[in-house]
Amino acid sequence: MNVLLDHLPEFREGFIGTILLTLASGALAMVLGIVIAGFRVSPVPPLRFFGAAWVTLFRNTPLTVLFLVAWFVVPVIFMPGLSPWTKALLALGFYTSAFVCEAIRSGINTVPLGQAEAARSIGMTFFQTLRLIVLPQATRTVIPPLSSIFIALTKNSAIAGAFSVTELFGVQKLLSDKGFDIAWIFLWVAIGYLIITFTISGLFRLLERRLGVAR
Amino acid sequence: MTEVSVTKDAKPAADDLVVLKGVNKHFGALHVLQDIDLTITRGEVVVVIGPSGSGKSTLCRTINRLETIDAGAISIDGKPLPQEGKELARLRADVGMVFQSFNLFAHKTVLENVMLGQTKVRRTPKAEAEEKARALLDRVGVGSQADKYPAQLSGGQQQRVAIARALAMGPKVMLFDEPTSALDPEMINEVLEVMQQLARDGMPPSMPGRTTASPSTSAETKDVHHEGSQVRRRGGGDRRSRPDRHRLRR
Repeated sequence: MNVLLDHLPEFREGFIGTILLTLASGALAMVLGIVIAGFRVSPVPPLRFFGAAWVTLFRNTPLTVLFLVAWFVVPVIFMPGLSPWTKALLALGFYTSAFVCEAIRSGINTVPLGQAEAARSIGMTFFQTLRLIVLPQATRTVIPPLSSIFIALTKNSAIAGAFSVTELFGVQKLLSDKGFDIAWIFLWVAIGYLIITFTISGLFRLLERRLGVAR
Repeated sequence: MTEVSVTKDAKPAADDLVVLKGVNKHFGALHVLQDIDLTITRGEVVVVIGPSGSGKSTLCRTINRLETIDAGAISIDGKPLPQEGKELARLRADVGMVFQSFNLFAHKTVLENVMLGQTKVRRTPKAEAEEKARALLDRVGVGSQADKYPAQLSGGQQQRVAIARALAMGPKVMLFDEPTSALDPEMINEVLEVMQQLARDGMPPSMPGRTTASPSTSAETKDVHHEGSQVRRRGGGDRRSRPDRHRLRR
């Protein structure tokens, strides 16, 4: 019990770190996921190929390997001088975007083909059809899998702690190194994660209900 | 399928709105459209009839390139159908289509369904689009349903909204792909009445010309019998007085 109260600033910093990292990489994953899903259903073969390659690459690579690549390969080849936080953001965002893409694509597939045909037949472009007709109708089916994906993202962000990014799981290492009782530390860290994940699933449930009555 | 008889209209070519030349289409091994030649002139109503699976819908869908063709050429108002892209989208805006299964946008209200194409494709100001949409909905007799969602309407009402949605674009050509086959018998009439009224009204200013391709009883001027390679034209009224001879022959 005392571990929490005595080190409240550390826990708070870690808690906020996890929230920020999750929010930022979640936003990145959403943007990338929607764009890549658009690629995967587009009528242009090179875009479809790029989308498929993206998903294959990031979905099938262990996240830890992506972190290692972000830490040791990306600075050497692409962009030197990225902060650890940015590198964690990129690794988590790219990894999660592959899952977001597939969830959105499955949602797109649930929208009857006739909807897109009707949209095209009144002269909408592919992009308009996707944005105005297909994606809004796909949203409802995509909400439950997205909720799971974001909860997984929250927990995956713990890997960033091992790469010396300030976040909740990293607090555990800091304090157990100082010799505090590990069981209590883990308990508080776990409760911290539960607060975040419960909030996410609550928000998504709310969203699901809201979209439910809109029809 | 030995007989191929196509009668070309004697009207001047400038009036030709939809021209199909040697159109061929395969679905795998199935040769659905075999050397189709068809010319539809401005203001003409053409009805395509034939047994199911004979390619009526496919023919209809090739005209706005929802189906691509393997060989031949299709042109609308003198312009050949372009490849998928912005230009094709622009051309499709001029070709109204009414589907067998209505395909109203499920997440939009009836009014929004009729406004969407005007505001997003034609870039019409909202107020103007709404005025036109309400007028069209009144004209097809569903003005009082404007704020409902498609799922809350009966099939016949949905199809009439779909007709209004297509008309809102001010199309040069209207394609009706079996517009009544998904409807209950008592709802068929309300849709047919709207279509017949459209045909009778001639051309409202928003509709410089209209062509109807529909396998229904609302044939007014021309029949086209279609079975793979057989496209035959007949004068109006012909079909009612004479039985469909080449179908009886099969």
